[in-house]
Amino acid sequence: MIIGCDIGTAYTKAVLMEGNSLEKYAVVPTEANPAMAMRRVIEALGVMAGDDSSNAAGTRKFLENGHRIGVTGWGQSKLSSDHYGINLLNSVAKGALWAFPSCRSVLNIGAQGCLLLSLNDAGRVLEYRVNDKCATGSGRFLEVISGALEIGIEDISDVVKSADKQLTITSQCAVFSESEVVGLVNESETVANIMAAILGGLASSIVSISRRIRIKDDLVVAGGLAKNRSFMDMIRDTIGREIKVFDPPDIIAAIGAALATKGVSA
Amino acid sequence: MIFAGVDVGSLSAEAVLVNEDAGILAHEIIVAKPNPVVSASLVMDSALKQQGLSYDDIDYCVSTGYGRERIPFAQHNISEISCHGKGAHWSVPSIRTIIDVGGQDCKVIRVDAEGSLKDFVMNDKCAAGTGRFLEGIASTLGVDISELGTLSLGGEDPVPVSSICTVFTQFDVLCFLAEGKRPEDIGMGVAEALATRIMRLIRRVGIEENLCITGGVAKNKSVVKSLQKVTGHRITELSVDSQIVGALGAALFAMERFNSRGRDRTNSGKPTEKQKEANEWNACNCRGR
Repeated sequence: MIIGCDIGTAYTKAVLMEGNSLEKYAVVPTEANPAMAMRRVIEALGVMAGDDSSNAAGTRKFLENGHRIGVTGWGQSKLSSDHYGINLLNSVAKGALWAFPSCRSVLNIGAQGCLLLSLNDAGRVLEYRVNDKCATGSGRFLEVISGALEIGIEDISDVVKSADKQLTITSQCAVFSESEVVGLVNESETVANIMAAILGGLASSIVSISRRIRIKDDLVVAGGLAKNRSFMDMIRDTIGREIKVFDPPDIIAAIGAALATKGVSA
Repeated sequence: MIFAGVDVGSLSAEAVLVNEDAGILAHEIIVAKPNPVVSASLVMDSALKQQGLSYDDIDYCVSTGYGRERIPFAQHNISEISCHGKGAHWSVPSIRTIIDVGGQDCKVIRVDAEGSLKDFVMNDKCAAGTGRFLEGIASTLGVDISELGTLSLGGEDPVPVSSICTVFTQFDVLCFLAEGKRPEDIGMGVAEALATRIMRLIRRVGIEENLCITGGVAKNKSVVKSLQKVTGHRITELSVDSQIVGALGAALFAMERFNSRGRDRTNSGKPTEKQKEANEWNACNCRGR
């Protein structure tokens, strides 16, 4: 068995794979502590018996039994335990190809940045672009705004369905947009209209990185934000092509990490 | 003769009263209200009260900052860039470069020997390099913004901050705390990151000595220290509160305009279209943004 673990800045995702088949998955908040988050997510997978699951000795036992753990994402470099480190680019590419063999481009939207890559027919990464310097165009942007509007991330998709007026957010910066949004609320604009404007702006910031890369069909969108249907419709309209989304979309990189580890000898 | 200047910012509002003989008669700083007209009136009420004066005693008033065109008791309005240049130069005449770090923007202003605007650059698009950056970090560290400077001065080994974005830096700070780094060292690292960010702006207009820092962020001693380090120049301390420099400049402009136009208030009232155009031209003529 192989565990693939993707330690993101917001959430840590883990999958348990037997060969090419996905057996189980789990997602826990990272809470700024990668080592602890990895321990908790493996515990949540429930692959280790009893007390073993929550300590390093348990993980070692799992490894000694010939099983492996592949780790990717932001927190990977911050760990000091026995695991294979896999770079995020490869994980995302492998995971998306596993989910959709027809996949030739992947847009991965993370909490602290987004990644767009294109693949050749052999599944190799041809080119990629990363935007991880600014919260504009990242999942965190939406978190900041939904916090200011006091709505849950998971409710955004439904909320924007009742939007009936086109608003424009002039600020690019997440911090300044937050103030602008509060200003709009004070001017009695509805949360639905404000959120729709925010999503539209976010879609164009994300898609703006695609101008520098040749996107080929099929385009797969990965990352937790891909659960948001309304947002995916906006991404589709902004980018001007159909998109494919695996359910759940946030474990793509973890799946890729497990698959990349499979080929490595112990 | 009493001349007034009022400066409404994103986070605070300031008023200054001056006359020719005594210099600054009174000054006041308040936390800004959502409406700039309300902020301007409140802060001016309070400054006038200090001297037992009323609006009728003001011979000429200039407004600057956010919503400066809409302040009902001001006869004229001038951009905050010119006002900061004017105020800082009056405070210390050898000043040629002013770094104004406000709540939501940062400007680097160059003035000539007379205190007139030569050039400027401004960032108001990104919270990194502004007071909002420090506010975000202070809240993550769980300290009041006024205490952040003192806390950071206690740092010995600054934690390197690699993110630029305010939101991402807040997350980095959370991780540093989880790793057991000292808040003092984190604060020091953050002050250096802010100074480095501001330095990128400074490079675009260059530095001519002497150099000063204005705006609320000037009160953070750790940022001032870091700016001295990254610029390699000593930062001159102003003789007035760094936060009132814009309002002071506005009051000085009020005095100048009054003296050059005579005492007929009906003539010196609202700026004509031509003057507005001239103001805009002056602003555009500089290398903005």
